[in-house]
Amino acid sequence: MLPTNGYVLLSAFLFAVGLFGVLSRRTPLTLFMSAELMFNAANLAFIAYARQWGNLSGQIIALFVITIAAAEVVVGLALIVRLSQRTSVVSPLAELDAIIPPDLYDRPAAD
Amino acid sequence: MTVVFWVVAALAAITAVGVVTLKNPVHIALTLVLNTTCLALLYLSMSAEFLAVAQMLLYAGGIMVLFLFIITLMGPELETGRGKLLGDGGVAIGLGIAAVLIIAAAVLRTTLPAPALATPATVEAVGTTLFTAYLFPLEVVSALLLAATVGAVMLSRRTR
Repeated sequence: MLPTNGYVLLSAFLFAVGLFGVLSRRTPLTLFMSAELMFNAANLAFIAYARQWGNLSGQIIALFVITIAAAEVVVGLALIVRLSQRTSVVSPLAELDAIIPPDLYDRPAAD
Repeated sequence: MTVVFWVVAALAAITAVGVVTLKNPVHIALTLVLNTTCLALLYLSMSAEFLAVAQMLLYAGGIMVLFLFIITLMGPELETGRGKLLGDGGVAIGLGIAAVLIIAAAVLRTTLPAPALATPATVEAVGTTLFTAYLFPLEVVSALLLAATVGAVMLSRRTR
């Protein structure tokens, strides 16, 4: 039997990569996909510990996590489509670029 | 078995890094499909067959197809470098490394119990647990799925 710690450390790495993706991306679609990485990492840890303890509850929770991730993606993508219908241009992000001044992120904080 | 684990784990790590570094959303989605496939193989190596099949059907077959559908609907927008949530990415890298170190420290300092030889995780055992001990959460999740379906239909309906 392979050690549980190997699975959990891989899960920690995947979670951190997903966290980096969520913090460093700006497109809603790529944000969602990075969040899926984090969901998957949590599932891997759940299943590894379920095997270690000989208890099926971890697998059931992982199944619920997959289900809730699917529901979240459905609603999120519907929001993205709705946003693209409301704006006049094809890409809502391009319109966001037109609104936000280009030097917003380079300005020093006003205080 | 150990060799297979290391190969699949390395592939999962590489594809995860690809998901957060690639620019084209289509490439990201296909890399994420590969990543979920690797995770399904890891579930199989832990003899969680039901979860492996559910992962393939729901993630690779359902969620990722939905992502690709939306990408084709909206056009593959290339990402520009400006306007990220946390500056230039340095803070994000720092937080990611901090998360790895915290979780790894917590994992390595914990002494696990001896591996239990309790119920094998057959599909029958998973189903029995799901429909007896976890019946109420299952019903709550079904209500959540119904709410998500109605919400998605309401959101995407074109008014006027």
